Amino acid sequence: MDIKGTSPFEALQSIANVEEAEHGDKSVADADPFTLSKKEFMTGADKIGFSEATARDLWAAFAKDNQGLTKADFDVREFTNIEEIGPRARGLMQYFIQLMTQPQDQSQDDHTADDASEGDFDG
Amino acid sequence: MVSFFDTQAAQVVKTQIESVDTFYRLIEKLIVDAGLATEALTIFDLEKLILQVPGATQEVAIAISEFATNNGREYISAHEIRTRAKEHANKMFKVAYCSFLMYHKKVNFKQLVELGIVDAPSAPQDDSERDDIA
Repeated sequence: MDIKGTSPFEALQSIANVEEAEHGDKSVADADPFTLSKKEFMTGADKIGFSEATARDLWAAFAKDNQGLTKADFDVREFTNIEEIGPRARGLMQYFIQLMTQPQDQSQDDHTADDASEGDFDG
Repeated sequence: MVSFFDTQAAQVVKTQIESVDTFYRLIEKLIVDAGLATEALTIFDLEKLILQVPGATQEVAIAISEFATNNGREYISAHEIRTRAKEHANKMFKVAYCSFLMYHKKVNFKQLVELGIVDAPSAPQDDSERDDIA
């Protein structure tokens, strides 16, 4: 499947269409699938291993107020370029993290080596 | 009823959010360590900082600067980098959640477009025009 120039949702729809054609429709439509309560988010974030503090920070960043997420919050138009969330972007981030956190050559008296220790970035 | 947090996508998103958090914190640290915490920087200033990282090439510095600043906004700052990190994590989660809804909850791409959550795809006029010409 050629997904160049395709949003991830279009690509996913193509996959979902194939799945449904091959295996039948197993899903049930929800009345409002875009609703996600803070309680469900916090419980879920804990389940996948986020600390409570991180989950709280994430919720603060995700929700415009302290109520649940609704479809009004799910505007992802600016971010549906597959290049930006795709492997290239992830690879770029990982490469930079690796450069910044790799052990430095002892002969190289570079002050950035100690500065970039991972312990500074917790929390 | 399948919950998003029970799916493998949730674990993937967690890993990605952690990468995003680390990535932007390291960029912010570069800026702060250079004594530029309160300065408005150009994308070229950021490129110079990244070039000081051992192993970083010009190409990497350019690509990372463009990515970290959302494709080269005129000025950026340490504070904006923090905002960008939150924005990025936010979108990542929501893209994954929408994908989960499409896969498990029978929401389709047409509905996402109708709700204004994603842009409608541009018409593939080039192919048809080419076919007509052929």
